[in-house]
Amino acid sequence: MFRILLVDDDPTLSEITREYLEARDLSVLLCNNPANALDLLKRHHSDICLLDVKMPEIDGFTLAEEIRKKDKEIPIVFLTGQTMKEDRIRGLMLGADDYILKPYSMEELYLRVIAIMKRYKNSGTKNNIPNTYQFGKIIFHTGSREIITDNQTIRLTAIENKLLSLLCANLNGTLSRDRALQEIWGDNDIYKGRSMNVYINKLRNILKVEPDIEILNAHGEGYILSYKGSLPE
Amino acid sequence: MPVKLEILRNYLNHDEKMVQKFLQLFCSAIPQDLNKLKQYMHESDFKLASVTAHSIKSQCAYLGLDLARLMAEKLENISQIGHEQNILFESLENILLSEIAEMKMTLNI
Repeated sequence: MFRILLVDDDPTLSEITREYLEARDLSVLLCNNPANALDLLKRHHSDICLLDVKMPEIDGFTLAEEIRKKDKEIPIVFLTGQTMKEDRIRGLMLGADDYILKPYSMEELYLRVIAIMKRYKNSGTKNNIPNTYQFGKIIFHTGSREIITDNQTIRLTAIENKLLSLLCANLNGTLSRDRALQEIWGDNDIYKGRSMNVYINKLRNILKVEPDIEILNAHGEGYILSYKGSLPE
Repeated sequence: MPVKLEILRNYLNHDEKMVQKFLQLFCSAIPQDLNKLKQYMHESDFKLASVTAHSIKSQCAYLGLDLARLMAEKLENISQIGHEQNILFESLENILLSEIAEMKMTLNI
């Protein structure tokens, strides 16, 4: 059973969220006062933090920064009514694993928490798989399956997300076509290979707003995600 | 502007027990939130007024109370107190308190 630290000053939503997640066999440590969150985290082990963004005294971003100073691995999910792009980017760049807009569906929240925890369990630690990539004016967030550009947020399908994640993991190197097919579909069937061309073309279209990044064909081998710009530290 | 229970049911995965619990919490929390908002506005504490209006806005969204949600959103961005803001608050208070009274009567909360 996972234990969740839920920090939200809104007693109605936080209580409903706690009850819903506990009814799905998760353990929830509820904290309505963000000033107490760090102390709670010190005293009680938690597997994941769900943080409201807009709170009195300490906002969710500041709290996440404090949590990160003490624990670089714990997954963090922001729960927020904020729709400002700058806020979403700030959250993702703080290393958030997901960013869920209020009002959220309780079941979707539950499923996203489970997905994040499964990913962590499979990868061992958070740092094995970066969840946010920035290429110039493009930010790609694997957890929320989003690409954020100057003026829009594009939600990727599960396959597009997986394909782009594999390309990012092999940045400026060759991702073999066979490996991509195997990892995404579980086999290298020729028809799935044709589907992959469609997904590659769609990703090329999305990425074309940033001239420094492009998906090149490595003839007879696979694809290269080529980036000529500098990566953030 | 009646509450849209179907919206709430969708957010709560059609769990009737949770729906009832949400309505109970909403009916008891909103009057307190409105009092706090009034006080913070009176004290010109815009930061706390904004946080409180934000909380009211989120709760209204779950019930499909769109007009109240929009009013709360306007108050969330409050940076001064004047006639317009006071009228806005009064309208929000009237809408929400009458919704709560109706909910208590019809839904037997």
